[in-house]
Amino acid sequence: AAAAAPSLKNAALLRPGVLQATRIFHTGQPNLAPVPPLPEHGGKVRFGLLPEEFFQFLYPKTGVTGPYVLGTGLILRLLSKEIYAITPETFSVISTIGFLVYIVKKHGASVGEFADKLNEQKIAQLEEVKQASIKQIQDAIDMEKSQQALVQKRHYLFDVQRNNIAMALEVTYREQLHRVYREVKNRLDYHISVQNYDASEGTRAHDKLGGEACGAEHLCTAGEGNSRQVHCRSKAARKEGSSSASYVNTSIPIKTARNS
Amino acid sequence: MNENLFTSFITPVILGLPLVTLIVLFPSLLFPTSNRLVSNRFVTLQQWMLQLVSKQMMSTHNSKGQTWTLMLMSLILFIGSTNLLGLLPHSFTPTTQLSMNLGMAIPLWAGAVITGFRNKTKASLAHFLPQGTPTPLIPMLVIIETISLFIQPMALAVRLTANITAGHLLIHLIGGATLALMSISTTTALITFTILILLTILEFAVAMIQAYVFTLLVSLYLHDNT
Repeated sequence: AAAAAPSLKNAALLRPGVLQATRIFHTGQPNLAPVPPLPEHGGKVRFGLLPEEFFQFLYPKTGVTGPYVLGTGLILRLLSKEIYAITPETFSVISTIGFLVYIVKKHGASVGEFADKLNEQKIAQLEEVKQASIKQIQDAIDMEKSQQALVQKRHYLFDVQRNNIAMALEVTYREQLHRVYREVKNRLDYHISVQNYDASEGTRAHDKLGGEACGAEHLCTAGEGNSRQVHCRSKAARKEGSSSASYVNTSIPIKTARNS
Repeated sequence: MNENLFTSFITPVILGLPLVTLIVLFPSLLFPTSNRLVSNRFVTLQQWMLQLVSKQMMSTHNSKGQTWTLMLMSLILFIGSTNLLGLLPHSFTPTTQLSMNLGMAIPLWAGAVITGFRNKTKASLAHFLPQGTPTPLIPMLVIIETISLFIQPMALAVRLTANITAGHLLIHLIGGATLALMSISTTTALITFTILILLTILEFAVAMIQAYVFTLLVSLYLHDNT
């Protein structure tokens, strides 16, 4: 139905694109016969006209000078029999051809190099674009890879941070524990020295001082029953200069301020 | 002597067949087209040269004038190549024939002028009177400008013909002088030969310059009229 319906596409003799489609690009040989590939450099010539093979062809029979003698003979025959007549045109031939040969010999190579450079510039421009694009993508890949690697190694950082925090917590805990220990020891020492003082000196000295030591009502809050070195630094004990503060193993919880 | 001198300017006919058509069409074989990005040296150099010339010549025109680029570029290539090929010995140069040069000059000039009159009538008519002329001189100046306008195609054609023909004739004459002097005194012949070489160099230059001048003038007429 689509083919039968009248449309501009089907109106022409050849449908659009058919002629182009029959031309096959670069898929096989351009000729139907097996043609050998073109060589890069042309055949070698002498004097720009005579192929080298001609000289090689004559070499076995006439040696090196053979072709030259043949050429000279031909030219002399042409001139002497006036097959080629010397006219004013001859001199213009000599000057024109001589001028052209001179120019080609002098500047031929440089002009060829210039042409090659033009082509190279064209290709280099396109190559530049390609290389820039490749480099850009490569840089992106490398950056992505390095960032992925960084992400992989991130756990080291977290471990270190975790360790740091743990250490800080530990240190804080130990510091506080030590403080508590010191405070408790402080209070216990006081009470022990008070006890010692009471035990050794009696209430006589206590009354003499006027109950100075009674003013120092230490708050003994911690009733820890652990064996520690308790050293009391009460004023009374220092004044006395007595080494009555003995180290008492207090296994019995001290009931002082609360009980009294 | 007379017969020999001007035989090179007869239009070549072989057995009644006009060879001149082939000779005129031949230079087109020397400008191959290539669809490749990187072609051989010959095509690369031609493309580079064409790009250089077209940029230099067409950059001064506006967009309406630049539609003439193809015409002017083919013109300069044709005239340049035919002139240069004519310098080879025993060859025929089509541009030595006044008929051909008139056939190139008149249509191009007429096209430029008529475009100017159709699209910018006032400006084209204003070209007939240069700025700042004193009032009594105006009628005469208009007549003179009209004459100079109508002489432009003639000048284009005759300039090209005369230059190329004169060059060929001189080469022929001085070659003949060298030939005649060879048997009289070789030294003078050698001097004449040197003159011939210098003339050849000049002719190569003239061949290319004339092509350029022709095209440049046409483009100038175009610029005035677009």
